[in-house]
Amino acid sequence: MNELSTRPMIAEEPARFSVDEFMAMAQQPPLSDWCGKIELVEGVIVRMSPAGYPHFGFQRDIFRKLDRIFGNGLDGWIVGQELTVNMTKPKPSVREPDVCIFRDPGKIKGLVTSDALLLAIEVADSSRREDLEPKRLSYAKAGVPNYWVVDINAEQTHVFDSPVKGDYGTHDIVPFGKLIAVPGTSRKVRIG
Amino acid sequence: MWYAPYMNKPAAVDSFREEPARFTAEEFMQLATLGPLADVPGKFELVDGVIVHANSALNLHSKYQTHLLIQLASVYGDETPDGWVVRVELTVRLGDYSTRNPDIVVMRNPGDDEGMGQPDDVLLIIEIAHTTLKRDMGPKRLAYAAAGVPHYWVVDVEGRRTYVMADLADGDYCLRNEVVFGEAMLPPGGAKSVVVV
Repeated sequence: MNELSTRPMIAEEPARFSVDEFMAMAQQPPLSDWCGKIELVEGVIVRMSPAGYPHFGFQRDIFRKLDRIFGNGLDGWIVGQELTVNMTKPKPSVREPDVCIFRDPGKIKGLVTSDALLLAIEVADSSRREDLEPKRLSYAKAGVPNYWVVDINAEQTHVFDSPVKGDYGTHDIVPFGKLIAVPGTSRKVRIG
Repeated sequence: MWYAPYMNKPAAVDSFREEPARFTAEEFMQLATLGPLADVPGKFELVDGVIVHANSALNLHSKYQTHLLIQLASVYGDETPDGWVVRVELTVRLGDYSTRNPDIVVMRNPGDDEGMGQPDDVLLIIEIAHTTLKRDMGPKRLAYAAAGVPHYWVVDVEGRRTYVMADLADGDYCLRNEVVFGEAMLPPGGAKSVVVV
């Protein structure tokens, strides 16, 4: 069997699906019965862990603070929680940021696209590595101008902006309790 | 094992990747038969819980598959209730998180059962390896052995030989013979030989 060593190993890749295929699958069993969210990452279905209570608490707190700023439809922006977003690139991807600020799309059918996003926020409890690495690149490649990762365990917020060439150009780390400038306004919020 | 190619991508800034969602064999069958996956073009297999595309078979692959199928149908294929029958690309459940569609399966007659093939019923699995020899002789060999498939043949189109494996012990095949094309091979439990030419 020494001949075997000269043959190429063709690895098996996870199957890739379109956004429409993913959305259709997500709406019926077994995926609709799953606990936790699912997202589509360049065609591959990826499962998010269910959120614990601290995650819920931080997400709610951030949503409420931002909604207080944008709640009356300031400049046409809406604050959303777990909005399903069709990422314009890299295709095909579907993400659900924990909190986001996005342009009111009016009466559309289907998904909001990522070019409507002003800010995406992920609250990281156990998901810190996903949020800081692949998700950061995912939002940056889609051109989402601002991305925050709220790191519960390290008690700090990673603030990314200025996407360029598939990654964010600036990265600040703001300890909990310090003020962070909210994009699109002159207002500031305190997390934690 | 399957995610190795990710790690080799040079441009990957990310030392860390999000893992594909894992499905059970039953969830996968639910998707494949009822859900929208049934409408997605192509065939799928479940490898350690991850849905993968099964390779498209081109002419040379299909030629050997048909060639063997015709011979095996005359060896088995009497369709009696407890007899051995030959099936092509049947989805076989290998475990809680794996299903494969082997090119040829010889198994106990499942009658009109509507489900997947069960590994306990399988006598022989044959894969035709044209471009996929390493996979068929590597991860697939171990997956079939782990599922308790007693006989496994890999037809190496390029090397013009068949690897004949049997005698399961400790999750692998102890017997591995190479039979060059043109030599007779006796299929397990069969009354006459088959020849790949």
